[in-house]
Amino acid sequence: MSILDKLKAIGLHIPKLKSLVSIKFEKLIHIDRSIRIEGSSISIDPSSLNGKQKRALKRLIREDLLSDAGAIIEEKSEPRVREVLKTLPSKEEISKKLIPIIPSADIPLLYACLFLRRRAQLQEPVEELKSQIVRVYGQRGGNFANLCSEGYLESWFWPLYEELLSAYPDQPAAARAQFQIHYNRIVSDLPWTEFVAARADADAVTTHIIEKMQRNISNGIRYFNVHGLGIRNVKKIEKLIPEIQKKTGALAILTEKTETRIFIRLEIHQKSLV
Amino acid sequence: LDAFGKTIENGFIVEKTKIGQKVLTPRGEEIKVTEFAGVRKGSAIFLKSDIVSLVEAAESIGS
Repeated sequence: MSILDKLKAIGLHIPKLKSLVSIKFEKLIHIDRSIRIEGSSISIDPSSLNGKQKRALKRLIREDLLSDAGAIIEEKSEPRVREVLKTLPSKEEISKKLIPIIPSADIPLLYACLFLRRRAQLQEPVEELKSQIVRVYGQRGGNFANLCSEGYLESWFWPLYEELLSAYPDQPAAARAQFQIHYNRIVSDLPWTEFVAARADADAVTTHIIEKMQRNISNGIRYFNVHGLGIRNVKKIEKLIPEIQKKTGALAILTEKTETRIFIRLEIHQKSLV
Repeated sequence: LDAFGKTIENGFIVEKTKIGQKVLTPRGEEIKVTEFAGVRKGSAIFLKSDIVSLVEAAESIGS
């Protein structure tokens, strides 16, 4: 029985409607009926229903609507949910690859960050959404969002897993376990990457990067990627790089720069830091 | 909220039959009524209006 048939069974008959896209529950002012129809959507005024109808409607919401629709969304959040629905993050190629191998608690984080990346690519504001991710997942969430927006899911995480699969050809569980060790460390600490925050003090950033590079060199990692967004940030990073090079002996082997975005890859070719 | 046996107390969503017991998201967060964004299926999971929860809701609708 369809939702429309179930509504009819509790006395909410809408013969003009052939299909139903959404139902709103609201006070209908100056309308002497309990239902208003707008296209394929209806508004129901629960206060105009009798006790029996109200109970039946509650049951219908709880048992049928939620199961059929997948979710019942509060009106103010509906535009955002509709925006996400246009291109679901789970349909992206990288989602299909990473979902089986990342910790399950991070799957919503992956989805949210892919949505954020898509908005950023469309030049739409993302700062508030990124703050929301950080509120839910802490700094780890911010790190993941930065890694995602700079393409590391595709360029680093997936190739790492493929490499581990080659190393453990008959043990996918072992490859996955090893992957998660690296994954958790990278997402938590960003050992070989710095996403320079716009508000960060240049001296503090310089010291932080040098410390990370010193730790890395003892682990045999001789490269470091520096990312920054925003005009002032680009200028700040350009100014601090020579100091880092002087202190570490690193060479800037790749620089990608626009007015509002910078990426510099540093590599150390000598055996130890200066 | 009423349909799911919840109500509002001191600005938070709470259980109707266990007064004072706050409803939590799957991540264990309390839900202020101003942050309430809806319910998704799976034992009626209550949602906050942050982007992580809304993307999960969209995935639940789209799946």
